[in-house]
Amino acid sequence: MQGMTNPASIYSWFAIRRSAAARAAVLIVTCVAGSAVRGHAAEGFGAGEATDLFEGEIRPYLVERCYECHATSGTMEQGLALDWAGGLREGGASGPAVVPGDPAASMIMTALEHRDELLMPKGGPKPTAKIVSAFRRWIELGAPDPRSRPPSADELAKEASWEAIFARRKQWWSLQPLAHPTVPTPTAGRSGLAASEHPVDRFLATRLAAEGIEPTAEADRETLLRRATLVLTGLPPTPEERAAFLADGDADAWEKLVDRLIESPAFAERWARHWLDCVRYCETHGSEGDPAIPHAWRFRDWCIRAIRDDLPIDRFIREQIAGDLLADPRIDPATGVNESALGIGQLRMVPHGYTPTDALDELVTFTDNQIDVISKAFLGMTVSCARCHNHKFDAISQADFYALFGTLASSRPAVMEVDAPGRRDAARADLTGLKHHLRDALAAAWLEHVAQHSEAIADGRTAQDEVVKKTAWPAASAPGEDARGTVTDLTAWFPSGSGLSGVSPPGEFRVAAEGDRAVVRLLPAGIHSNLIVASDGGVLRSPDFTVQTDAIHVLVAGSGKARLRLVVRNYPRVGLIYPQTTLEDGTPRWVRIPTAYWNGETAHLEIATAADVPVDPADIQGSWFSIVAVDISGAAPGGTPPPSAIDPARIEAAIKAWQAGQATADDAAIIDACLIAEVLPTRLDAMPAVADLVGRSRSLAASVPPPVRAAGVVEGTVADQPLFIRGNHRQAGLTVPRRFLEALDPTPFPSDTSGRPQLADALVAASNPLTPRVFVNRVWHHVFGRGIVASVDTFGAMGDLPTHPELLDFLATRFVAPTASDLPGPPAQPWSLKALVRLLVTSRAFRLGVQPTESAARLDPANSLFSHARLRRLEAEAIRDSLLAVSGRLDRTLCGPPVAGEGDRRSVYVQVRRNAISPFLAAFDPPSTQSTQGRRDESHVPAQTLVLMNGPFVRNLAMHRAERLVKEWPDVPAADRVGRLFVETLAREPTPDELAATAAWLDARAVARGIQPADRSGSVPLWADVCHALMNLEEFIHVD
Amino acid sequence: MSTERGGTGLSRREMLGRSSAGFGLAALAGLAGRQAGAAGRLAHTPRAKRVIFLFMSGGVSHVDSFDPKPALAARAGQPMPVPVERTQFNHNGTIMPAQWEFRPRGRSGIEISELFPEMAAHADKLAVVRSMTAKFSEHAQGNLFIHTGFPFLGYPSAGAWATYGLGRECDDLPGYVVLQSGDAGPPHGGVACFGNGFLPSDTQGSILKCDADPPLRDIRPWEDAAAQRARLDWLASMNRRFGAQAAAAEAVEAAIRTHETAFRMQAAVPALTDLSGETEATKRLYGLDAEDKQQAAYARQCLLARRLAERGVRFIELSCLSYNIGGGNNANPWDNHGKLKEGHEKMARQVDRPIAALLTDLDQRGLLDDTLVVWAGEFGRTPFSQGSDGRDHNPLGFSIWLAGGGVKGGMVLGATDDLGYRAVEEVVTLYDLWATVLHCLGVDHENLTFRHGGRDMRLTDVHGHVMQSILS
Repeated sequence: MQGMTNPASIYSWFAIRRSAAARAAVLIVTCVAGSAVRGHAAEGFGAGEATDLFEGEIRPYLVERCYECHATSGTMEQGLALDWAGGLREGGASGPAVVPGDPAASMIMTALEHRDELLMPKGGPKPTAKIVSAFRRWIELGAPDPRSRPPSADELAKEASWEAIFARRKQWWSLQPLAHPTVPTPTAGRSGLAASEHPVDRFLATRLAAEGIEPTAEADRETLLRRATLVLTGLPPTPEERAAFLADGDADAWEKLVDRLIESPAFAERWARHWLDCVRYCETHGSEGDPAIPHAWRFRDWCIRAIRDDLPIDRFIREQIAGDLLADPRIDPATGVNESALGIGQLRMVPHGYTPTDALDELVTFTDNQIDVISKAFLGMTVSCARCHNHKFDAISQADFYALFGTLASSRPAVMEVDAPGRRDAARADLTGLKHHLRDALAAAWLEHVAQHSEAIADGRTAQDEVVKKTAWPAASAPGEDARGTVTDLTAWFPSGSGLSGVSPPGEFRVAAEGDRAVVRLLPAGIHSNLIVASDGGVLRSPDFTVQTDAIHVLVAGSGKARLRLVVRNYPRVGLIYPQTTLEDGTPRWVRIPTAYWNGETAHLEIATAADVPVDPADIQGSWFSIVAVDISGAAPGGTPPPSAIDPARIEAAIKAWQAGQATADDAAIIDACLIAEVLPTRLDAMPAVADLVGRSRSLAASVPPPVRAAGVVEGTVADQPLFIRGNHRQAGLTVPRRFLEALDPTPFPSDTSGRPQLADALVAASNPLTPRVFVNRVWHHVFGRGIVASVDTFGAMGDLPTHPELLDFLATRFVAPTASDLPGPPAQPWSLKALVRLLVTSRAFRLGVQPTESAARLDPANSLFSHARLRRLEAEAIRDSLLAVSGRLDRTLCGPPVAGEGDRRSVYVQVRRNAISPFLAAFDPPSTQSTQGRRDESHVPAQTLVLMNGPFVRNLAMHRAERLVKEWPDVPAADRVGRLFVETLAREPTPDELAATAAWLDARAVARGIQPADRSGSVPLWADVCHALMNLEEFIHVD
Repeated sequence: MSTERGGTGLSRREMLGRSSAGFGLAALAGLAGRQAGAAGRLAHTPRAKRVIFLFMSGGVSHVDSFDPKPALAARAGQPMPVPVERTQFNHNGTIMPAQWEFRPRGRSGIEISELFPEMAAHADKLAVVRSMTAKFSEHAQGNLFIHTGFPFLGYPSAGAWATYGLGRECDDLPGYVVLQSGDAGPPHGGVACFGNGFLPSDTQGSILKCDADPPLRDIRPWEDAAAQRARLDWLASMNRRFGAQAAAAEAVEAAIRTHETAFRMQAAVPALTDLSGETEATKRLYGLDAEDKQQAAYARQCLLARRLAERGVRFIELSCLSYNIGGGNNANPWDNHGKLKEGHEKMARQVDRPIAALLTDLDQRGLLDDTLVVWAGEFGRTPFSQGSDGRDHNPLGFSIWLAGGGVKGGMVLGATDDLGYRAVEEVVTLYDLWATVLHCLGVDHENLTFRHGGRDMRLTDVHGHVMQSILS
């Protein structure tokens, strides 16, 4: 691809692509439509330009954009048919659509050019200049049209089939492979931008020269310092930083500055925030109650650390889809946390309704939100638009939506333990060993007890039976014996968490974590959490099943607010119609879960320790559960069986079997009954050897740190999703295999995984040109204030076209594979954000002034060609952070749980509650918490003035600054004080005029406040007025 | 704020590119202050210039108020004879008759119950819609849906759309004001119900607390007006210098105008909430002297609504107060899952007289001709009981009413089934409500669009039909 020199060829690149598309389309039309439609020329149809135009541009456009509403066998809106020559000439209610030879009289031109209020295609992208001129030329040439008769409904369906349309749309520019453009050499001018060797400058300068636009000269150094510091870190430069930079006469002073800023923690905080906008970062689910997304902030910190460490962006992206499933997780050596797993936190940042009566609708809603964010943030595509029908304008089918739906809905919302292997395991082997010894010691003590007290045991039988009846484990069929299905087979359930270790045989026990007993109960066969470490977490989830009875009974015990839930369609909240039982006292029982309400719905069961439920977890260490059996028949399971008569010999046999690890269910039940009835000793003071082991076990267990938990998902039942006809979730159509977008890679995902790892890989595959283009463009947008594609989240037909397609591809290819010799500096690692930012910021284009030249103002008033710098309003966070910084109150602590907006931490740490955004931030166009928003709005509204002028937050900051100022600069004259405040606040000295105006205002202020001249220097309120006024300047909240 | 930018941060071209039918220009003009000349771009002559939205948060029982169902008394205590959809609380009881007696009212003879005796006296002004439906049986989704057309946050509220489409007529007050008093707060779903979504920020609802000081966040300066004037002048001169240096003179002027608007708001808001100029008779008419504190507080909202209407505010929304009875609280005051008789009695007393007074006052001042009043909750309530004495949520059929500019009085549209459970005749949706409201404002709801996220977004999504039969 060569540089462009012809101003008329802004989209020549597309012209090439589009005509390739057109050729493909013609081929397909030929194949499917056959000769009947194409027929012979109706009138003067000949070879040459007009034919090429018709087949290359006109026909494909009519088919794709117009037939839906204007076909003879369709709705023919306004009586207009555009699917044959006669229909065009006859026209509709407003007159002939086409008057051959006379574009001015052809209504279709009015509609396409948007000259009137007839904006066609309705709701669609405005026709490009190229399409409009093709129509005009074609009409001028007599509008030859081979479609001599209206197509039948069948013919129309074939021509306008999704396959045909899809094939054409697949030729859209952003879906084409990355080009490998060479860096052009500007032909005009050997000064300013054109003289730069920097590749970015050479692309921009070549284009500006071609357009006849003179770029602006570089801005002055103090302006550039402030620009670079704010753009890169979101904070203003300090007076010291300013002095150092202005004094640095080295040739590479700028590069040194850029490196310092990029390597500062503030860079990671600011650029993490940029990314958080893309994934609608928030910390609550919204709706009634607005419950917290547990540990959501760990995702934010993950993002900050990833950028600080310059994690390659392909990896950064993969971790956000499947970081929990990667074979080579990144472990943070400082914390021992599986850093990669934190990346999927964004999948949890979906809205959830409050006890929705239609759980499937809720599932569709929150899965749609995941799809919407993933497709926009990474691909710049609006896949969500294809929920009800094929995409109106892009190469995205309804099947694509449901392919992603199946992938994402095969995972379930969860709280995850993210400790790296080993972090909490040091004592685990020893604890297991101790437990074996404890079993021996207990057995020895019990056998001795039985031998010594056999008569008493036999005599006390009846009374003991009464106690046992109340608290023994009810009878249960062993897990897996119930043939009704996988729900009742606990081995088919999905375990997660450190505290679960599969199905235990009868006789397992938990060492009492505290108190004067060694052990409280022996357990029947089942799945028991926390058998080794009390602080472990555990969640056990059943496979999906269809609710068919009015109740499900589950035989469980638990304590510390462990929870048993019926989870309908993965809905993670509880309440009202979503049944749950909190397990408190450890007593085994059949819990009845009412399910009549959900008859026919897909659901699963979940039992979890308190800290591990997906919404509203409780931080209770020592929470545990046991689950022994599930009965889905609906009928109440039988009552508690009386324990078998406790015979000393039988007890002795049971103890021996248990000690040998061969206890039967009866053996375990007999010993358990003896423990309950205190037939066998459990108190530590009665068993010195046992007490010693329990003491060692307890102190070892106490050395195990609690798990680190994060918001995420876990794999559930893997299922392909049927598409919902017209989006109606009660009307399922064909099942769609889980896969990526057909336009990029139609390979179905394997059946043994949700497909998240495959989706993650597909997003960053070399065959996918969207991801690098979209990402590079986002970075460009933040550096230059406007994307090469201005619609940063939309790279489809409804978005803007790139102003510099070759530059975009140059950056994308070098971003992915930065080996080429046409890049300045040493080779960077692939997918390096820092290298990309460094490349852009070290261009001369970044350093241009904000004033347009005469030619720029005339020819490119929107500055879409980057001939000068773009003035930008700071984002809400940067405004608040700048205020804190210049007041001296900014707390630079990195990372951690969210904080209140009134505090002193950077804004990226201020809590993001969907229903209660910090009022200060809310005034300055905060990002959406609903969907991807890569470009902030910049509004001017009175609420901003009011919060800056009258709000207590800013006033307090000004007072704080003034208090320090009066103390620190007691003898500094007023004019110098004002000068220093200018430097602090605006990173520049005041002009003499400004100084004079400010002095006059200050005097008047002092008089009005009744402050005597002698007292002015020490007046905190007076100086707070100055600090405050400077903070209210437009200059302060803008980057120039 | 570069040269091509207006007050929205979007360039004119970008703004026009995002909106259709020329509304972008109208909206752009509206942002800087008073907006004029939009009518030339309207689809047709508007019948109303502004909307007062009496939002009955929590859901009023239609079978106890505007939708008489004798069959309920006949079947009292029996199970529902038809299949019942899932309810949110799943505590369905038997059929519960209306707790208040219905009577024909006015010349039109519309049957309205004794729950709202004073509103009922205005029956001949009301277009009662008895076949309204919503899509959600949960408060937050329902509230977001009735306000924005979508059950999620992030979408513009109807008030924001109206302000965006028509601009502002008042240069010292916001275009969309949400009134609160006493313990009234945002409904479930939060302030997103009043949000601007993707529309320019200037269209978002400003919450004005009628009886608080200050009534609007940050509205009260900490310095006197002269000092602030001097500060603003200094700021303006500094800002102009910056505008010239940064090639942003036009945008800086827009910012300065915004500062001036804020400055004027500081005076306008206290003047608005200062009721000393109102006669005692007017205050009594509304019920400002009521013993019931909630009624007095709601009366203040109604009186302020009239004052805002007089000042040309485009969209005014009122918020009910709560008695914390039977499930209702300040986010959903009408939500009587239990003790419906007691709860609705109190809620009705709170709003009945003030709303009736508002209609009377608007009418006698000639404002009702071009003010459209909308009375609606996010859903109705079930004809069967929840537990022994409450009613659950019912979005399948419920009643709302409209009055004033553009709609007929004394008429009823649609009907629910014999039990008041489902709308069955001339079924309408909340999309239809907003299509109709926009129509009365002179706007074709299909043409009021804003391009966002690759789609042309609308208040009515891809739905909505104007309720032609209620138009006057």
